[in-house]
Amino acid sequence: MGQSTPIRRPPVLVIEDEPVLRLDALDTVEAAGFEPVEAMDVDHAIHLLETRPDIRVVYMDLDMPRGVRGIEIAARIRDRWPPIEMILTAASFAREELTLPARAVFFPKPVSRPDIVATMRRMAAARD
Amino acid sequence: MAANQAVGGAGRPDATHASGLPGRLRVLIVARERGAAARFGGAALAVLATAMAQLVLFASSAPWFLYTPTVVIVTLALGADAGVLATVLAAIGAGYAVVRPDAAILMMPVHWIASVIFVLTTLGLVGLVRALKIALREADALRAARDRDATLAAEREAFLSGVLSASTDCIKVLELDGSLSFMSEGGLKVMEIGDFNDVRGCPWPDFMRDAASAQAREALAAARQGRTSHFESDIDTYLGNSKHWSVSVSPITGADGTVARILSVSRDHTSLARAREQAQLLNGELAHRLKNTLGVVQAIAHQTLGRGGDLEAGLAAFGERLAALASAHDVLSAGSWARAEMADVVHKVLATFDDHGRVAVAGPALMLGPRATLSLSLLLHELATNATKYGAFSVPGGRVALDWQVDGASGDVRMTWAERGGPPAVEPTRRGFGSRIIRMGLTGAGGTTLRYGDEGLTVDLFASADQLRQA
Repeated sequence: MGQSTPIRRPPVLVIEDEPVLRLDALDTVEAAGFEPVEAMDVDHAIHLLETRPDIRVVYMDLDMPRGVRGIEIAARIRDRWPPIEMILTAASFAREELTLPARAVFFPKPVSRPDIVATMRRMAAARD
Repeated sequence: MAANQAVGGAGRPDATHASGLPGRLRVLIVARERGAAARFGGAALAVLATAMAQLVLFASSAPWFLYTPTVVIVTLALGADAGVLATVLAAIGAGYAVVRPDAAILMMPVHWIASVIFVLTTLGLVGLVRALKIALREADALRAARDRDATLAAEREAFLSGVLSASTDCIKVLELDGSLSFMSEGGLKVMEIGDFNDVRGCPWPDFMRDAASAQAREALAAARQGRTSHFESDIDTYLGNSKHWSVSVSPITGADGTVARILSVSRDHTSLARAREQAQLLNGELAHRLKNTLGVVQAIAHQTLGRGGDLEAGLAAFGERLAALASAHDVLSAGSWARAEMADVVHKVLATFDDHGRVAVAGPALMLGPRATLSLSLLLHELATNATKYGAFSVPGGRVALDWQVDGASGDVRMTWAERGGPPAVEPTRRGFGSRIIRMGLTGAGGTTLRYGDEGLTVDLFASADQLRQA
């Protein structure tokens, strides 16, 4: 995380508490040319968003194990940081069951890696 | 006697049971007819006896006087045909007393007239007695039938009330306006009603709230129109305990074919409803887990095969990692997908590596949540794979000690994987998926220290018992 590179890579925050999925998501983000920022859980993610105002793209798993509804966290992030773009994924919901925050994009698990990467690139490009 | 026995058993006082002369006379009258010889012989004997009494007592005066009661008694006791015979014999006997051998027509005309009147009136009496006999027999038969019906009705009632009270359903009879007029014993029990008088006459739908009450009213309206309906609802018992009921409401048809009352049968489906809910929940949970697992499989595939290299070797490694994932699921499915015992996970994952008892496992009971189970399975699989390639499992004498302790006060868990008897451990230059999984530790949040010593690899994994249970 946070290595200095000649070309500034836009950061993408990965909020995923399933270790294997997080590891793979971080790799995906990195391979796509972004700076992967890793959050193990929601509290950690909020802390990172507070201290890293440069984070504009969030990739988040809505399947939260400890009684927190991921979609509520996503809505709170949207309210608190309106410019942030969100890519959401879940195994426990279908797209029609969710009221997504504005501009958020949802991919049900298992996700398609190229779709995720394309969406991240589009979001990062729109922001610039 | 037979008639007497036929109506016996009901125990009610009636004529057949009356003692004394009237009772005995009645028994005599309704008794079964005797055989022809007895009947006609009896009649002849009775007439003969009367004739002798006549001769002794009255000689030739009032010759018909004694015969009439004799004929009546014969008819009563022996039947109408015996009565007719007795009448004829009596007429002959009486006539014999006044016969005049010198008369041209044996008797004086007045005696002929008296004889004819005697025969006619006595035959009339025989007819009357016969009618009386028949009427009495019919009355006895009717009473016997009535008593039999009453016994059957009592038996049927006892049977029905036995069935009703044996049922654990709440069986209610409602009037057309919906008020309660009967509730079965089992119903009072399941509805937690101590005394039916507390609820008698109360409108049944008022025992329910909102939707259930509306459903009950609808069902009553349907029943009044002759239709049976069914609904399921949460209804509180009389003491306020919430239960789930399956309720059937049907019309009870009266004698005239119209709906007279309404039957409502409620069955306690609380445990069924809970099981259904549980199954639905589990179903949703499994669907979720399946999709999540596919995501994990996809991630493992990327990590194992997405880096180029030898496809054969990559596919083999992928298959082994999937097997580790499958063993995590095996252990989890035994714990309703919510928890797994640490020792079970360890034994399951290491079973394929520990072919010669080279792993010594020791540690207290410790519960793991689903994510920790998955992390630990993959982690142990990577450690064992490493040991097979480069560590203690790569040489014949190598051993592994795997133990864990829980600090009673803090709940801190420390797990140690120590390879001994193999080649010296060397830190790898390249960090692949395996070493990343190991470094992510028991909960995926780190807490791993690795020591590469000459004696072999030692890995310490730290976490809290709470984290492991909740993860």
